[in-house]
Amino acid sequence: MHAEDRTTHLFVGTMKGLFHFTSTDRATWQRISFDFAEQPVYTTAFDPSTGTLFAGVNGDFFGMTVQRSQDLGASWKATATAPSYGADDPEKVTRVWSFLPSPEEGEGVVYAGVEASGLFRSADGGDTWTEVASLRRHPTHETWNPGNGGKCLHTIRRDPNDPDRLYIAASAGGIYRSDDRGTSWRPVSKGIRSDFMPEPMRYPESGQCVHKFGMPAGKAGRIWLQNHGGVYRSDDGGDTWVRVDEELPSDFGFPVVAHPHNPDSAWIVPLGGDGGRWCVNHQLGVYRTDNAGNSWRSQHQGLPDQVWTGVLRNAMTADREPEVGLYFGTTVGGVWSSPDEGDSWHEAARNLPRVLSVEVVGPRR
Amino acid sequence: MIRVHLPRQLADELGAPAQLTIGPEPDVAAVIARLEALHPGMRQRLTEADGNLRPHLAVYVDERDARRHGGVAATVPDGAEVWVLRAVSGG
Repeated sequence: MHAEDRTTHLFVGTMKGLFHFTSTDRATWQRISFDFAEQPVYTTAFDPSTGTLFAGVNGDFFGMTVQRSQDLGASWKATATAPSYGADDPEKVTRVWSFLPSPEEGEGVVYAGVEASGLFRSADGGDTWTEVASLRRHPTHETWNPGNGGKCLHTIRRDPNDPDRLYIAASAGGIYRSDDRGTSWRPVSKGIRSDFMPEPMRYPESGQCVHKFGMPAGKAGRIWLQNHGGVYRSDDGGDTWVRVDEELPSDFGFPVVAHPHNPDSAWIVPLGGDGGRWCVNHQLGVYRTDNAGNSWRSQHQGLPDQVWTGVLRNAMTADREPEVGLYFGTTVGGVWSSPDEGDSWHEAARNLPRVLSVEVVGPRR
Repeated sequence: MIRVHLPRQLADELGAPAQLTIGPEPDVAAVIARLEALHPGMRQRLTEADGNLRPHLAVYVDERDARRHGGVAATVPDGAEVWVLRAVSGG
């Protein structure tokens, strides 16, 4: 891309296909294209090292495909194969929920997280896939169960401070860490609550319904985590967790976004727990902390109230500009952007299908 | 010869014609194998990992629902019309 190109690309995956928008000010948007009609798009991910954009397209009729674009969504082509468990496996791969392009491990390396929860790795840009079988072979795998959205491995991250260290989270299953690039895994969920278990069993080793986690650069071991009940922070790579939701109007929500430049800052979208899972007080908005979760403030300038909607786990993200841009989509098909770290919000689109995923490809990749 | 009718969405994605004629094949599994050879990716979209038809697809051999006649083992007589259809589902 030309050095002076200031275009930001927004890829919005919905229940009925993938929308592509662009903007040069991150406030006013133009719709460029629409692909994969009728098919739910649970995740998209961009690999800046190769310029490859991946989309997980979870069609009801013809199954899941991994789609790849080398021209920022102008054209797409399915990879030669998609992740699949063996013919005799009691579980089936029905959806892809997450990608992690991993140039740290070699050109063309990409991970995929799938439903039923499992992890796959490709070394050829997605054409062939091998299960990272050590994860499902972990003795705690029997504690994994489907959440309301399915039994899904929805988040994969590489520790920005340690390239050998990988994390995944599954709902329900918990958060797991590998210190050897996926060769072995252990749950790092101890201390995270499982509301849905009997009282004496609410802090198990695994099985938690972790909704999302994020990791900032610049502070080794820090993880932000939105649980099915509870917002948590870890400063030691998940070995221990502290709750940071005391000041929040609700401890329930789906996404959490780590500030890309400031490890003490993060954003979440609190939803009314079991009372409908809509934005608290029907005010669409995010909450931000700048002091490691000790306090939070609401950011909703420009966002509507009287809404009956929420934001799903893969439907919020941030770019890497010096003044960070934020982006989210709602369950009633609204898409919003903030060019100033949440201080003001602008409507990028309305009346789309239910938004499942949002990926941004900004000028700084 | 066997005449195969494909859903438009599937044909378009794989660059296949919506209708194509192939040589005689004994059963639905062999028809799918032939389609895979002609248009790679077809098997993945029509069958699951265990080789059975995807649950939201219907395959008719002439006027017989293959799923009720052995699934991918359903026989395909020479001269048959094979219809691959999206089942009545969705929202």
